[in-house]
Amino acid sequence: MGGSKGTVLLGVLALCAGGARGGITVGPEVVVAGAGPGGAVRGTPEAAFGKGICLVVWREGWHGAGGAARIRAARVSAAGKVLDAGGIEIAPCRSGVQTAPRVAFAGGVFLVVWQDLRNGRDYDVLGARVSPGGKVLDADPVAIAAGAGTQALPDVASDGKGFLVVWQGLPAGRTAYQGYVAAVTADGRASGPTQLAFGAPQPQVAWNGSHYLLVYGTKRLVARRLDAAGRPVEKALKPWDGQVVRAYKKTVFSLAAAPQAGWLVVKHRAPPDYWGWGGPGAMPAYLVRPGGQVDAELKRHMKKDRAGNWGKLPYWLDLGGKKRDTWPYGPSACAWDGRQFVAVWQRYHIAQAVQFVNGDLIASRLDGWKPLDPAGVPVAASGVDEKRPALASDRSGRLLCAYEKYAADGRVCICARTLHTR
Amino acid sequence: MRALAGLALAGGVALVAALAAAQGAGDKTIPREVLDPSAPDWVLDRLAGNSTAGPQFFQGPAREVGGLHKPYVAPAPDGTVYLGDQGRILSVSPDGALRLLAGGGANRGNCPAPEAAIKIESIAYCPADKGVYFCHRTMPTVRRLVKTDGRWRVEVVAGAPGEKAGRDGPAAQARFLGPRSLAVTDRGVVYLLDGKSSPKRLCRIAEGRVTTLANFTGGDRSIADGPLAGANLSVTNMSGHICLGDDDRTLYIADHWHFAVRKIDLKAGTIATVAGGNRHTALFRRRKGQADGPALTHATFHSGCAFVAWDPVHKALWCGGPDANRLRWLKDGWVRTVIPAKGNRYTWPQDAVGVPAGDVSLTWTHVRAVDARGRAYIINGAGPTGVWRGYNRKTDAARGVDDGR
Repeated sequence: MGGSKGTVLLGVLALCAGGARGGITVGPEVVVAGAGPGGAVRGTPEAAFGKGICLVVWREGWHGAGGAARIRAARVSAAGKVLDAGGIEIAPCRSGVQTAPRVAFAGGVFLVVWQDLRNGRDYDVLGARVSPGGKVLDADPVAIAAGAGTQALPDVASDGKGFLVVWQGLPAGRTAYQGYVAAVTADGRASGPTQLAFGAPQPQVAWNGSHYLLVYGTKRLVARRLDAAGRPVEKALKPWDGQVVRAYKKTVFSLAAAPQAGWLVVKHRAPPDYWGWGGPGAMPAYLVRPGGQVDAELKRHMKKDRAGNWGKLPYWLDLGGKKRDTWPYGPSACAWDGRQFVAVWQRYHIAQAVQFVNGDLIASRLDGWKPLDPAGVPVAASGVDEKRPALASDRSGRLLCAYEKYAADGRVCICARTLHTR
Repeated sequence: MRALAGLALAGGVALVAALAAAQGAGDKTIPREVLDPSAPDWVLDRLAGNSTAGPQFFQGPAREVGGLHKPYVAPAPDGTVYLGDQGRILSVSPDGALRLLAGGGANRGNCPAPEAAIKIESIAYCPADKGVYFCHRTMPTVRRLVKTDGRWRVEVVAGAPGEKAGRDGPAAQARFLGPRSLAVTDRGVVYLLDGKSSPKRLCRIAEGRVTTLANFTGGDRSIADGPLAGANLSVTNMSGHICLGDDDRTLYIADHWHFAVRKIDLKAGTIATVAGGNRHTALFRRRKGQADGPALTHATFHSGCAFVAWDPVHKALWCGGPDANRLRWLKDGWVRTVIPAKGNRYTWPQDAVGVPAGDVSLTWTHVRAVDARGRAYIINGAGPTGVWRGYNRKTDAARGVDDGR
């Protein structure tokens, strides 16, 4: 017990030690995928580091009616060089579409998971391992959840030895989604799906060295710790995020873990509205301590989260332009760089009071939940849309940010830039 | 003389007071909520979306998908329902499968549907070319989604991507400032409300030409009915929805800040208020917004009238404000409540089918569209996202069709 407390203390100290040193150096843009079997269409990149290289995965091609979207991957060196021009097809298939890929590294292999509509009716969750040398190790995908009903939006994390996959699934004959977990070993064996005793929309999971943190929710995010086997540690936790995103009633978020310390969650606030009822745009950052509680100091600030205090809350990344000409909103990404957290998020330019017209990507380092770059560091801010950031870290100050770029010629490219924080 | 004048004035004041009292008494005899006789027969089904699925989009059985926002709806005669939801167009087939048809790309011109950059705040289906027409104020074009050689494509119908102006002419040379709302006749004639910050221009797109029918003036204190040439609208940058009526010569406009429904006779070139329009009157204050009753003397809209949708079966016009909590229609000169929606907002079965309309709870709700069977497509703006479909059991039974599922 004393040992674990000491570990926690060290972790907390480590969390705070990153401080304001350094900055973010953004590397040149590289095109990971700009053409391919998907024609002009691709999207939803994700990335993970392992054995000194970064595996970027994405959806290649159209995923709607008549489409044949497939999950592809390309290795990118820590210096930002694309090693697999054209990409690697993860799971060849003759029918349906594959979407929403996620990736993690453990036991010397990457595990890529995705949702697959090959049955033509509803999604299943499948996975495949990829070696650091770029070889797909599972000729037939690992069936993580392939039963009846919709099983969608998987996420994967690793404890260094194996993987934990989480997703939302609809039990037969029910109308309410439940959360599910399954363990996948580094040699590609999946345990049967275990249904959690609660609904878990858009679940994400991250390992901090002693527990997984499962975060899920729509209006309010809920955090629950899981043990290494994916069993909930707490029987029940109240929603820890008191904020409600107004109007759109939806929140997307990103999650990262700091080894032996805590977890960072970044999510957006309300979109712009004509009356300003939803308050300003922002990207609040929340720190969950190893015990599963929100950081106490942060919690005191969160209680002041109401009109009058908006704009003064220290855990808000990016309040947008004072003239409401820019607005942070939508997907974000975060990662632990070995000393501190780094977050990347979307910042839109606004037209006609509420219309998003051009998205840029902005980054900041965080000391725990405290932003260290209050003005934000532009990562990708051209005249065209750059959206949906994914962030991977080798935990030595080198990160890779992959994102969608909507080129002027109508193509969507998967691009990437290195971020150096040391 | 002065005494006579004083008497006359006193008499006049007394007369006005008596009339006002009578009017006030009349208010009291008509409750703020008047149920339509058909109200008990209405039933709601979840059509698309799931309240527990979360905000990230995925496809599948329509009642299981996640990530729908508040879609604009265009029902087709074959039972397919097209949804325009943020940056994409989707379809719900009669067997209940939801599929993505277009959006997610970066192309604002003519292109394969997957490559199209799409924003939508108005959508309509046209039987003539089986096209789904759509527009958005930030993209100054009217476009359509059509199937060509078995593949969906997006085509520019009029205007040019990125070029904003208010100009008539051949469709490719015409320009728009901010296409806000459109309606399409069965023969493919498009009516469009266009404007920069607030819509001021009503256009007709037919036979490859864009023609301005009216340039409305503004002003929210008074309503100018009569010839289109001298008419005004008070539609802000929030709203301004139009729909066709029972024939191709009738167009309805939700005149938001006049708190009114306006009716345009396209053949005669005139506009008339048919409901509400009493925002600045004592009656509006007495009735406290969103009140039912005779359309021009007692009916009011809370926070303005933002949406209109014509029901061709029940011969009624669904109309409502942006923050209504019940669904009302204008029929036979009265505005009445059809779907009262007074259930418990936290427990009503949001993802079920066959829920009696009185058991549901809707807030910031309105009817987006009505199909050829009189089924209303409903948005619940402040609750779970997605689309519900309301239908009348007796109407369906009389027409010999099933319950609409």
